[in-house]
Amino acid sequence: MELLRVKNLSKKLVVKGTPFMILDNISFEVKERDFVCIVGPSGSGKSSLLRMIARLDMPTGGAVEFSEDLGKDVVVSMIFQSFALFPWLTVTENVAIGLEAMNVVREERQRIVKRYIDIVGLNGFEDAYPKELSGGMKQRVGIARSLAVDPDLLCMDEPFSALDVLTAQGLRDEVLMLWQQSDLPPSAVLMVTHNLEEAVYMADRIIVMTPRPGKVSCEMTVDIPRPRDRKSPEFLDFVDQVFSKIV
Amino acid sequence: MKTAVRLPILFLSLAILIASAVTSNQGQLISLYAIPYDALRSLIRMTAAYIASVLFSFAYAYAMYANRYAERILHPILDILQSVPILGFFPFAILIFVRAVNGNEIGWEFASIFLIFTSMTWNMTFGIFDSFASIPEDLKQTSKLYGLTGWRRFRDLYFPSTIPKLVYNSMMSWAAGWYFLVPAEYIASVVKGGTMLPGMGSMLYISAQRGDISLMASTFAFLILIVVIMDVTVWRPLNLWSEKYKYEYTPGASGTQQINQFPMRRYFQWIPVRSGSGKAISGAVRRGAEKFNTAGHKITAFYGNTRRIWKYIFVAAGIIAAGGAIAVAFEAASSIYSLLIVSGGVYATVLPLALGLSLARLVIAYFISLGISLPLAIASARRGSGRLIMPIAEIVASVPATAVFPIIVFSLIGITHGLNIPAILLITTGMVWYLFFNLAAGIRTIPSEIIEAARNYGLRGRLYAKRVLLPAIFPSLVTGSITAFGGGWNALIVSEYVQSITPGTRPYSVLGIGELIDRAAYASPPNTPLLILSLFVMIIAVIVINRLFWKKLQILAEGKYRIEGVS
Repeated sequence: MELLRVKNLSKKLVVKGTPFMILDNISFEVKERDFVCIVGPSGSGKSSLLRMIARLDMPTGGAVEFSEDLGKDVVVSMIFQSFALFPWLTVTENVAIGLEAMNVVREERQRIVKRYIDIVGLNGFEDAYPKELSGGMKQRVGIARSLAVDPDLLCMDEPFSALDVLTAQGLRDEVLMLWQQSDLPPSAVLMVTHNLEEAVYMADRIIVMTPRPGKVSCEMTVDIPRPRDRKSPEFLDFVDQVFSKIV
Repeated sequence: MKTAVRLPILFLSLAILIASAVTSNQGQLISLYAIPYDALRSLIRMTAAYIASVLFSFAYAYAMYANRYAERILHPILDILQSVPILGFFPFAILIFVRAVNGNEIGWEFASIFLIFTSMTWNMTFGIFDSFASIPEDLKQTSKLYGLTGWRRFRDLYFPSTIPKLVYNSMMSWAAGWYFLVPAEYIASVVKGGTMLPGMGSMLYISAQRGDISLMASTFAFLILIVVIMDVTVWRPLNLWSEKYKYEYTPGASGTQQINQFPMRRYFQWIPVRSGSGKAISGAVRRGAEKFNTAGHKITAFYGNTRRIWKYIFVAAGIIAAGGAIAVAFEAASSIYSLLIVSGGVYATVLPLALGLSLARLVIAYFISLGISLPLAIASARRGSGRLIMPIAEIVASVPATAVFPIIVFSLIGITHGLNIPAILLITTGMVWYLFFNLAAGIRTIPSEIIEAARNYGLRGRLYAKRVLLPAIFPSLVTGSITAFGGGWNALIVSEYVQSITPGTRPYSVLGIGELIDRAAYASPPNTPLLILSLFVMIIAVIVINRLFWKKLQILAEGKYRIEGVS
C-alpha cells in the first residue's frame, strides 16, 4: 500500500541574487514496508529532499503527499548524521523528548523509553550524557529516540557515515534486524547515503540522483535475497550497476 | 553598500575631517566650529590607545600562553585589572605620565590616552589568549612539521588564529573607548595644574556644564556620524573578512552553509599603486622581521635555549613587579591609615553601605538588560526582518550613551526625584550590549542539526525553550553575564555621579561605590587615599563574586552545556 508520494517536487534557492535550482521535478513513491535508499554524489540535493519530506523545509514547487489513511497526524522521525543529541539531556531524556512534546503521560513515557533503550541495548547507560558515550552508542540513542515516537516513516540522513567501519557495519545489521521485526515501527524507511554498497546492502529500492540540479536519474529494485552477502558476485555486480548510473 | 566604495568613503571622510579641522579651528575651543578639530584630536587619541592595546594584548597574551608559570601570575593580574574602573587608573596615569614630563601638556595627552587604553585592552588580551589556547593541536604540529618558526610561525599560525576574536574585541574595545571618552579626556582639566585637552569628551562635558544643549547635541551628532562611518567602512568589512579565519569542523547539515568571503581585492581596488607599494611595504616588514628573528636566534643561542630566557625574563619581571607592588601597597596602606584616622572611622560604615547599594543597582540593571537582550537576540536569529537587528545593534552599541547622560538625568530627575532610578538606567547602558552580543552569538552557533532534531520531534513553545534554547545558550549567557557585570562595575563611575546641565549647580549623585570613586578622583586635589580604599573594596567584591558565583556557573557551562562539533 502506498504510504508517501513525492509529486513534481522542486526547490529553488536564491543566493546573492542568482536563483539556484537545487531539486528539479522529483517524483517517486514509498510503499508500506518499503526500505528506500536515495543515493547520489554530493550536491545532488539528497539531504534537502529528505528534509522536505520530514517537513523541516518547504519545497518551492510540487508536493509531498502522505496516504490519507494515516490521517492528519503523520509521524516522520529522523536520524541525523551528527546524531543531533541534546548534550545537556541524559540518554533517557533524549529518548523521551519526542514523547514529551506529544504530551504522553509520564508513566507511559517511562515504559516506552525503557522498552526502546532495551531494544537498542543501552541498559545501564540510562543516566549517561551523550558526551560520555562512543559514536556507535550515540547513534543507538538516536535510533531509540526515533523509534520511540512510533513513526509512520523513518528518515535517516547518512546515519552511519560518522562512525568507524566496524561500528557502522554492526549497526547496519542491527537496524535491518529491527526493521524485519514486524511488531516494531516504522512502516517504511527512507535513507540518504552516498555509500553505494551500503544502499545495496540495506534497501529494497534505490533512487539514484544526479547533481546540479538534483534530478532522479533512475529507480532500481534490489532483488538480491536477504541476508545479503557483500562479497557475492551478484552483490558486487549490482553495486557496479548503480555506480554506472551516477557517473 | 558596494565593497569597492567603502575604503574611498573612509579616506574621503578623513580628508574632509582634517581639512575642516585645520580651517575652522580659530583658537575658540568650545564652540560649534571647534567640533571637527576636537573630533580629530579624539580620534587620534583613540587610535593611539587602540594601537597600544593591540601591541600590549599580543605581548601579554603570548607571555601567558607560552609559559604556564607566567600564566599563573599573569592571569589573575589581568582579572583584577579588568575589574578596575577607568578612574582607578587615574592616580597611576598622573604618576607615570604627568610627573614624568613636569606637567607639560604632552604628559596630560599621554595620561588621557593611557586611560582610554585601560578601557580598551583587557577584553582584547583575553580574546587573543583564548585564540592561542584553542589552536587545534594538529595545526600546531603541522606548522612544526613544516618548519614554521619565529616570525613565520606568528604570521601563519598565531596571528591568523586570533583574527576572529581580535576583530570582534576590537569593535567592543572601540565602543568601550567611546563610552569612557568623557572621563578620559575631561580628567586632565579637573586636577590643579592640569590642562583642558581639546576633544569631543571635553566638549561634551563642558557644554553640559554650561547648559549649552545645542552644542552638546551637535557634538553628539558628529560623534554618531563618526561611529556610523567607521562601522560601515572599517568594522563591517573586517568582520566579514574574519569569517575566513574561523575553523569549524562541524559537518553542515546539508552542505548549504556558506562562508561569506570578503572580497579583499575589491576593497582595496581603487588604490592604483597597490601592487608596487604593497610589495615594498611587505618586503620591508619581512626583512625587518627576519633581522629581528636572526637577532633573536643569536640571543637564544647565547643563553642556551628560549625556555631559559623566558625564565630569566619572568624572574626579573617578577622581582621588579613585586618590588613595585610592595611600594604601592605600603604607600596605599599608610595613606588609607591616615584617612581612617582623620575621618574617625566614618568610612568603615559608609563603604559597605555604598558597596551594597551599588550591587543592588547592578543586579536590577542586569535583569533589565536580560529582559531587553534575550528577546532581541532570539529575534535576531530569525529570518526576514530579524536580519536587520544585528547591523542596527552594532551601530547603536557603539554610540556612547555616556555622552548624553546629563540630558537623560535632567529629563528624568523631575519625575523620579532622585538619581537612583536614572542611575539604574544609565548602568543598564553599560551592561545590555555585552549580554545581547553574547546571547546572539550563542543562538547563532546552535548546530543546525540540533534545531532540526528539535523541530522533527515536535518541540515547541515552552518545551523548546526549556529543553533546547535555554540549555543551548547557557554558556553564552554565563559569559555574557560576566562581561556585562564587568561593564556594569565600570559604568558605576559614570552613572552614580552625573553632572548637572543647569549652570552653577552641583552634580547629581547617589551614594554608591562608583560615586565615592568619582568624589575622590574629581576632588581638588584628588583624595588618593579614599580613591584607593574604594577601589580596593570594589575589586575585592568583584573577585569574591567571581570566585563564589560565576566560576561555578562557568564550570557547569563548560561541562554539561558545551556543544561539541559532533554530539
